[in-house]
Amino acid sequence: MNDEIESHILGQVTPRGADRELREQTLRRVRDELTRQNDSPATPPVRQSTRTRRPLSAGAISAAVLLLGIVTCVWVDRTARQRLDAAFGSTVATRQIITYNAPTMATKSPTATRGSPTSSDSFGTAITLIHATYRQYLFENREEPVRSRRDVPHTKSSQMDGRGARGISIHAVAGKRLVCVERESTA
Amino acid sequence: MNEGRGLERDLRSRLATGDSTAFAELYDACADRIHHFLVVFLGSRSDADDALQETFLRVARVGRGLLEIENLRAFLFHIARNEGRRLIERRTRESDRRDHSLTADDLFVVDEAGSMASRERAEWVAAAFSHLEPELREVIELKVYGELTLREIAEAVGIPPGTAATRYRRALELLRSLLAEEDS
Repeated sequence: MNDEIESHILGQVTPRGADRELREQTLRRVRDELTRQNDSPATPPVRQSTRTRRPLSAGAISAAVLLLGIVTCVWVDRTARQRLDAAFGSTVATRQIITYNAPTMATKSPTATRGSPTSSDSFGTAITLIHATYRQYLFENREEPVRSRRDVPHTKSSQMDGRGARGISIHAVAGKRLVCVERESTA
Repeated sequence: MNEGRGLERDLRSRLATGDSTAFAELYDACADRIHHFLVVFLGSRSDADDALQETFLRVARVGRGLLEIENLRAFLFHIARNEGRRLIERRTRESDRRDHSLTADDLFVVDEAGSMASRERAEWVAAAFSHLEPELREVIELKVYGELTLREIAEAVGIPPGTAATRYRRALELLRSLLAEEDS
């Protein structure tokens, strides 16, 4: 039935083509177009690059990301430093204080005996050095010394000299910074 | 069909070099069928005239790119269809809402001295084309009057060959039902 429609009805009518004038008009326009193309200067050849754009752009992106990462790290570190300085003071404990902190803490250990290498003389020397460093620290920073543990918020005290009338306590602040506190009297 | 194959083989290189006589041969071989397709597609003979001219101009602008075209006939209908769509879009932008109903005289050669049956048949086909959906109408037009294969239709319209075959079958079924309605 479909074939019948196609052959007996659709195929029995003759399609009407384009008018005769249209042929001349179209071909004249085509000729004009071809002439215009021949008259127009040839397009300059595209300069071939030895390097492809894709690897170049990938390398540039990698470099930019790396640079951005470094800048971000520096900025974060600097900001964190500034915030810590604002909270706990601007000076980081010197290496000297930290060095003397270790043997001092060893004397407080319950396993330490009387005959241990850490004698009272060496302990006194350490205290003197720490005291001198602390004085230098105060001089450099022109700050008033903290008088009691209560004045130093969020501190963890480690008393180094429990025997003498005068002594120095070193307080670890936020686990990283040290604050030297001069005690005026023993408990 | 053989005419088309020979056309593709012989003319392509001459068209690519800008030989104006090759364009005249191309016009004589294909213009009537493309024009008929455009009349059905656009619903207007004057619009089809414009679109046909633009189609040949576009082919002339392709130049050496024609050497890479595998099927020149399908390519021509594809260009013509694009030009038709461009014209429809322009009409839409300009809010041109003219009634483009097809008549038998627009589409077919009606011999006034011929039999009454011939005229009635032409009028029936024109009316039936108006009842079909555009995508079915263009497939049956390209198959019956454009003399393209289903593969070429798929290439020209930009659809899979299976879809072209389905549309063609569906269009014939609709025409059959229209004919049955008229008989009853």
